[in-house]
Amino acid sequence: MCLVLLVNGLFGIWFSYREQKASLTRIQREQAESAAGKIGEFIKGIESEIGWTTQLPSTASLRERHFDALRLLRQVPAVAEFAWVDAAGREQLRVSRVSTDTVAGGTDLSQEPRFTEPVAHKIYYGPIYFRRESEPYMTLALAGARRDAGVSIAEVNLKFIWDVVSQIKVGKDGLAYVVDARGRLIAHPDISLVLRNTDVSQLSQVLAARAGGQGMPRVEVAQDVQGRRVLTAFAPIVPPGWMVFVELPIAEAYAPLYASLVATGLVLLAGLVLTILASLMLARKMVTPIRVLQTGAAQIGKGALDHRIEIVTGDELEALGNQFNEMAARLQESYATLERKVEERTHQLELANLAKSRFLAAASHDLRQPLHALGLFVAQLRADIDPVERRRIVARIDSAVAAMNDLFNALLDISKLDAGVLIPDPAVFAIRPLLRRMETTFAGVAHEKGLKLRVMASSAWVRSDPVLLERILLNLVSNAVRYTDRGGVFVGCHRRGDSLRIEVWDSGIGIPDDQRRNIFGEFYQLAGNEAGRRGGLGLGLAIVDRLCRLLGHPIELASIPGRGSRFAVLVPWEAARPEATEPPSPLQEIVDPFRNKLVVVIDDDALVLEGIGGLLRGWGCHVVAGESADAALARLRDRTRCPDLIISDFRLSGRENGIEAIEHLRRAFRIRIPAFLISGDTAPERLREAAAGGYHLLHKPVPPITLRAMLTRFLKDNPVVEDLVGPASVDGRL
Amino acid sequence: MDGRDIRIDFRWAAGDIGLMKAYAGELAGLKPDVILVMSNPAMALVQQQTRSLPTVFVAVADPVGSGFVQSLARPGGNVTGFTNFESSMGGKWLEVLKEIAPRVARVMVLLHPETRAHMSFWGAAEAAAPSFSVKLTMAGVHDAAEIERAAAAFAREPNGGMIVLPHTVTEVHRMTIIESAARYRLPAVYPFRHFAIEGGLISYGVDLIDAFRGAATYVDRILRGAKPGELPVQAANKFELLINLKTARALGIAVPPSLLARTDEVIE
Repeated sequence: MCLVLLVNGLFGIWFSYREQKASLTRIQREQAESAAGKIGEFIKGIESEIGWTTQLPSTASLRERHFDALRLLRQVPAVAEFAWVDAAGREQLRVSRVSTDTVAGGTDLSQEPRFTEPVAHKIYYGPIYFRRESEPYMTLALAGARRDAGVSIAEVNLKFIWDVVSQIKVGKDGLAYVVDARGRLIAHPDISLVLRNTDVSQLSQVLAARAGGQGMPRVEVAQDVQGRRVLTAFAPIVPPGWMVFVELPIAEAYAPLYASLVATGLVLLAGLVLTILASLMLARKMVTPIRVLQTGAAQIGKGALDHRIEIVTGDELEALGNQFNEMAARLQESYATLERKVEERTHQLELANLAKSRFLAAASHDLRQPLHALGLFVAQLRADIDPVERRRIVARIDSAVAAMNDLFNALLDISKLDAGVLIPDPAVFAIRPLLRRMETTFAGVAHEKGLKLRVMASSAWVRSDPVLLERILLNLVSNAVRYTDRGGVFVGCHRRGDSLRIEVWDSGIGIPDDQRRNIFGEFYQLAGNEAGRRGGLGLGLAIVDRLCRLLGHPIELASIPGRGSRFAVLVPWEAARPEATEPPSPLQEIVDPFRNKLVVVIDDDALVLEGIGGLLRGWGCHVVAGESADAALARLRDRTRCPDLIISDFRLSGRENGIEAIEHLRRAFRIRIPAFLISGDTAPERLREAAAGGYHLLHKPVPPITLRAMLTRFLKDNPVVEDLVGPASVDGRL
Repeated sequence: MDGRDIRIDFRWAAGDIGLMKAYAGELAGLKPDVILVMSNPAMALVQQQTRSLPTVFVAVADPVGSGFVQSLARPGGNVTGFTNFESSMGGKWLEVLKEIAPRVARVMVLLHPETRAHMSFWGAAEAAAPSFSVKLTMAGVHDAAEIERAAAAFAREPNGGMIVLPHTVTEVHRMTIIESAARYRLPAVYPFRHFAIEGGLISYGVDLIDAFRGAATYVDRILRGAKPGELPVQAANKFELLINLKTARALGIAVPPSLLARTDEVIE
């Protein structure tokens, strides 16, 4: 912007300078020419008036000539004195304004220039001279056309030229002056310069004018008589060879230029100031909000999420500030949400911890009860009692052991589910056999309690994990039977859309609305019901809940306290398949597959070795038992067969653990022998470790039925049912 | 503008030398930037009062001879101005008188004897007198009575004529002079036009108004800083010839055509 102003200003000044100079040049030249014209006319006028006096016939009397001279003086005020000289150079007449006239004076002028010059050249312009010290005069002499006409000599007062010159106005301090052919000042507004007979022949413009005449530049910058720098122009006055100079002081000539320069400078300055102000304002407008943004962002970055940036500029910066504020608000919000979530989670964890404690307390209580009973029964057995009493006590012991076994199984299930190692194995199967087993399982118990159990048959097929679904239904029906004292239990199913809705009804105590969530927690039992009386552990619904979630089967509950409850599980419905494949059951009765199988059992507990070994031998297996892989191998040397199955305790007293022992044996036989682990350690970590190694893990105590089920899976010729823990052991069979 | 740009104080002594002297003191006491003075006696009185206040004179004759300036080209001091007549005018006036009244053989020159310039005029006239065959009589006057007396005495003899020199005294008592000339039938030549207009026979001299105009330019230049000592004394250049034909007729004078032809203004 400044540059534009500057360039504009400079162009303006340049054009102004050129225009000004050209205009001044024109004016001065015109004035010089006009003055030269006037002076020329003045001189010519005088010449012509004097010329008349030379026209008088040679016979004219001196009286006539005197009269003519008086006429000349009257008509030409500039002529102060007139003289007529005859052809011989004798002055015959002298007429003056201020002194007495002389007639026939006879003064001899024949040798003087004022006579010889006009005789030779018709006209003579004498040098400037001064009368009474101060009056500029010039002798102007004319010769007549005829030789005998004589010469007319006039003394011309040149102050009249000063009139002409002083009338020329050039600007304020400009002036015009006249210089004669020899470079002497003839007329100048400051008459004193003329009266002092000033010689200006050395002024550069006079030198140039005298030397070059028309060819020289008409205007130039020079110094004038007073030493000022001036813009000068001249015009020649041709007849006398004089020159008129018109001069204007540079200072004045260029005053408009300077004014323009000053104006341009001021405009420039103003422009500059404005530009600076504008940029300052802009910077202020920009920088201040940017600083606010910067500090605000820094504050927010430091974690002061409640900081808000305040910018009121109404432009993009304000929008940016608002965006920052929104961002901060969102951050704050999500931070708060996060905190809330953390709090919630912490609370949940606390609750879970509480539940765990409650669980442990309940579990230990539930375990202590049968253990306590067992202690009592064992004490009774030590006493010598009669066989009837002994049988009764043994039955009681059986019952207590069964209860403990159930409890451990349930805990194991929960543990497995919580560890996430239970992977559903969905299959399409008919629901009918499953329902039938429900009926056969609970018919006896129901009958004992005087309840009516009715299971409606269904021809529907579903997609689910048959084992886990059966466990869900077992728990539900078991619960229904347990909590119902009068009436009955009804199990039925019907299709609803893509689902088969399996419902378990009872006419039991019902569940109050406010307890519906709790009943799915561990060890929860409805108030007023003692564990012993109900005979349950309170883990059933917890298992159901976990399994349903695992399988993705929604479970619904409807209940009226005192009237009964209805649990419903929704299972994906499938079209019936032509060949009905009976789903495998843990209770499948298969004996033959175990016969003559070689099973290696590794456990550092001799009692366990003996117990399991005896059980397996009872089922027809050949058993090699050892407290370590090496011990087992040592015994296997005697045999040429490769073991069909390895069962190892997870924790061994030797340097190897169960997994390493299994690997040891597999390396020895260079084949992936099927194997699974047993462990007294119920920690979920064990399960995960086992799963990571691709091994199934059974927890001690292992009920014979479970052991048998595992053997069935691992030793069956055709392993249709995949193992719960994955294909590793199955592959091992190959 | 008077009172704003410049202030003008003026005193008119009307030919009273005493008054003139007092006024000169008053004006010098005002310490003006420039004093404009008319006539030789006034100039002399002002010069007595001050040698430093810039002074411009008008209608002063022979300033060098009178001691007002050192030279005409470079006056040098605090004084400059416009002269009216060269001393040669004494002869010229005689020539003019002789031309309009050729019968005049005796000429009385009315002058102020204490004015030096008048002696110069007198000298020039006396030098020219033989060529015009006239006899000159000097009449020094200071007031109307002396004028009256001089005229009466001079007119006792015939063929008389009169030259009136420029001076405050002749200026102030011009009507006395003109009336005396008429009464004693004396053809007279005067230095300024207003004498002819007011009844004088003939006037030949410079245009005073022109001289004042020139003086004004000098005052202007002095006010603008010019030094009076560097401004040359200028001469009045515009000469006028006026003839009062009524007076001529009254005197029984037939103005020759050669003179009428040169006349700038004829008063009928």
